[in-house]
Amino acid sequence: MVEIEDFFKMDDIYSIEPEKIEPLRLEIIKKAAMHHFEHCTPYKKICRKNNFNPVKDLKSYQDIKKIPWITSKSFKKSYNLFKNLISVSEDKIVEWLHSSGTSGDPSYVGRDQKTLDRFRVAGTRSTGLILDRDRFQMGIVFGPSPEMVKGLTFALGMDIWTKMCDNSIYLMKERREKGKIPIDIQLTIKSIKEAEAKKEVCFFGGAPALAYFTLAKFHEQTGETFQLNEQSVGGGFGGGWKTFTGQQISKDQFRKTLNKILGIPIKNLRDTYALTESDIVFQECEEFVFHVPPWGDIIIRDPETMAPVKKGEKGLINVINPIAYSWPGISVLLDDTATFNNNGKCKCGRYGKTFSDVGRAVGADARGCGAMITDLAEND
Amino acid sequence: MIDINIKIDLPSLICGKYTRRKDEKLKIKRRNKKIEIGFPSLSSKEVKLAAILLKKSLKQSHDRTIRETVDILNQVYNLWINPNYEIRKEAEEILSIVTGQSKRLIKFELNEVIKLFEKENLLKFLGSQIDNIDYLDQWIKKGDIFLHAQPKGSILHNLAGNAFVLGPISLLYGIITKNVNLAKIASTEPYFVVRFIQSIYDVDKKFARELAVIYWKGGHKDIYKFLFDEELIDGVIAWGGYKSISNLKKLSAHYGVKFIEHGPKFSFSIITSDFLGNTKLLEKASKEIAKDIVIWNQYACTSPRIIFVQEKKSLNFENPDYKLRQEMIGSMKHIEKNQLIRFSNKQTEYDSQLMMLMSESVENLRKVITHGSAIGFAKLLSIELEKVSKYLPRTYMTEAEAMNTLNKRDYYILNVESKGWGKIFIPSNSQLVQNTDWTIFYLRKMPELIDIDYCINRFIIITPFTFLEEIEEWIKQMQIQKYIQTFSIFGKMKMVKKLADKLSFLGACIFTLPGEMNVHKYRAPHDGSYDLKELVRWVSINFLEEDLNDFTY
Repeated sequence: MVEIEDFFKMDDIYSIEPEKIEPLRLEIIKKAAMHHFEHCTPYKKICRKNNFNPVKDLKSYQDIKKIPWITSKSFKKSYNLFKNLISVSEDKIVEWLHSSGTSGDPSYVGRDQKTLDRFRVAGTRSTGLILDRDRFQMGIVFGPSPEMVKGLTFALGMDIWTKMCDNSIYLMKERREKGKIPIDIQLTIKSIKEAEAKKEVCFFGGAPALAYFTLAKFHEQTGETFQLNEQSVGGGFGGGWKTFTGQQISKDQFRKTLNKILGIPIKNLRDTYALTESDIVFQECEEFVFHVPPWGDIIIRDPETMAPVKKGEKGLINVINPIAYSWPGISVLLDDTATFNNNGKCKCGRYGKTFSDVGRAVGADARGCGAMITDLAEND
Repeated sequence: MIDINIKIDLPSLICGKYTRRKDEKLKIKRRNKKIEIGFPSLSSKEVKLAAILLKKSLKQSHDRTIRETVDILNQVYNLWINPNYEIRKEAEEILSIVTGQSKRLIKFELNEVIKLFEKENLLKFLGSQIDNIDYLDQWIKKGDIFLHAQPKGSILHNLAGNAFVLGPISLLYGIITKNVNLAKIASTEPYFVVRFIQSIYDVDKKFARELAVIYWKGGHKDIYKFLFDEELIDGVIAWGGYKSISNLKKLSAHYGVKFIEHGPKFSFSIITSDFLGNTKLLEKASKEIAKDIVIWNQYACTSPRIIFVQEKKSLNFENPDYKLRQEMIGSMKHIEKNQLIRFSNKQTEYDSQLMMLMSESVENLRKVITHGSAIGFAKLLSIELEKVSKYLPRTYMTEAEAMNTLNKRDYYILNVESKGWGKIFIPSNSQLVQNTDWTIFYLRKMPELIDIDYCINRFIIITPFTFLEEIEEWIKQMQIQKYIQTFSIFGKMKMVKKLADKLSFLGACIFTLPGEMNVHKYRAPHDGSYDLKELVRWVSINFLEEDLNDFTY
């Protein structure tokens, strides 16, 4: 019987063709689905609602699309459900990891030690295997230290990335204030200059908007540029592409600017897709598409029919996450969309499923003459 | 699937002239269809000029007879009723993408609006609201006076977003009362009213001088101020959001300008117990309610949000003391099985009546799905929604709309159904995991405010009740008296009148049969008043010819 931990130990995992790895992955998915079905009452209810029983309905890999999902919004604080969305007893929960809640409504997910351990190993492995490197001499993070934002999923992510570095510097020393870049600019430049002088291989992480504005502003004022070791990597960003004014920075613009200022090759400036409601971390390869690591899967679904989309089509992201043990994360439907690229060999040479163009689900905010309580409440 | 990209440049229409710019852009994407509508955003100076020009046309509007105006509008009707009319064909395509409704549904809704512009209907409408349309043209003897209706002057129509028919309807009110009209379009639906009024421009260039359809940014507070300050506006019809309406209302009150409010409203349906048990009639009612739900996808103020189903007739108490009954209703809501046993030991009359109610309530809660129960009605409605979705389908959902429906379903399954407070009904489709066409939630308790908001986009809640007073109490508790509008009531006429009296006393103003919530009846007032009467100044000569003769004799 294959265990999820066995996947983490495999070295050549991205060189195995999907059809060879799928039967093994089905085993761990089925095992996880059965665990949540048996130990999480609300999830069992959803399964029953969908006439789904993992024991008899997960026969072939094609059946994974039938696994009922929980929408990511169900983990929002406002829904007041998250405490019930666990598959272990509450005393086993080590940390209620939560999102930053920039919308004012953070998500909470209860993780036990087993899930946290898996999350850390899987996060390190997926990044390392895609970046072809799991050790860096220096980590420069455009964000707060994990201690400063304890409990945030961001902190756990940063903790994982910086554990891959011999030495890490966190550049955000104070909380965000409107209209102000909360980055220690002197420390930023000092750290970059030091890394440049020592020719150290650096890992840049944190919020891309912070990195972009700090460096672009510095460059605009001084005209100065750096030439870092070209094996340095920018990654582990995991969101934060919007500016303080809500303006979106294009990834292309970001790469060009950082390449110009830091000297890091464009192909080494790669995004990471990670979120509170998933234990699977998705890393961009040098072709700038996100790879699904072999221990999980994603299904991109047509918003109209909820059926999986075809290659090249866009839809809502459904993460299949057998890493989750303490919470029913086996199938989570996100508020995000992506384009399904491929399930075979990527141009980068790695096998597996890939996706791109990640963004928020959008649509017309259709309002008629019918009243909405939320609008009335805001104005009463 | 072929990608369809449509780009439209909408002009501003100012007194027969076009202004073409793309200052603003509305972008919408539904699956393979993408639309970008560019339109001008006018400066303060341009708005002022438009308002001055309009005012200058008031004499022209006044001097035209109402029958001439009706004839011009009838020509517009003839254009739009033709399915091959180019602008109509374009509108069907665009509105389907903008609103998320299928073309078939758009055609149906378009026809409903266009019908209002037909000569016969216009005369009927005017007649029912103004009594005698000649009042608009001349002095008409009424008893011992002569009566005449003069236009108010220049009417500002502050239009709402996605209910696309509101623009032409609002302007129609202004036109047939001989006013000149300035419409401010909404950035979320700038399209239809512009195209519709363009047809009027095509039909009669001179008439076009009395109309302006423009957009300016809501943030330009100075525009509203000078429109009132410089007496360029004599009346306002405001549609849409609470905030914009309340700001305009304050301004109108300050300047003493007539303000007609069509703010945000909620509507509901009630199935009384009069016909419960009559499966055929209930099937018909569910079919009609399904129609009310799908038309406008519940975005209209007239769309039903909650369906209240009476499960049992009111008990005939010897002592129907209201307070006592309210206490009983209150107690019923919190009944627990062990409480029932404890109560059974008490022998007072009050307790025995309370006991009766409680056991009936428990019986209702345990009721299996039959057509005589709210949950049975939910089942019937699910069958009808499935059917109606076939012949009046929606168009492709946007990603956000689909996600919103799925989020709501999870909320009810995990937060309500799992606690035993209800049951969800969704389309069954063996091949797909879920289909987001429609959702019914049978809620075993009275809804909360959030439930009303969730009931949009073919998402409906059905809730049982026993006493009519429960609905009254609920409306009061929710503090929504100001916002209730239409109720479809299914029951015998005696019950309908009784309910309508109670609900209209609270604030509701229209009562219809199921299936007719979105039907506009000419003789019916809108939001409690007759708009046409409000858009004219009633003036009188307080003597007749014989009085003059007597006087001069």
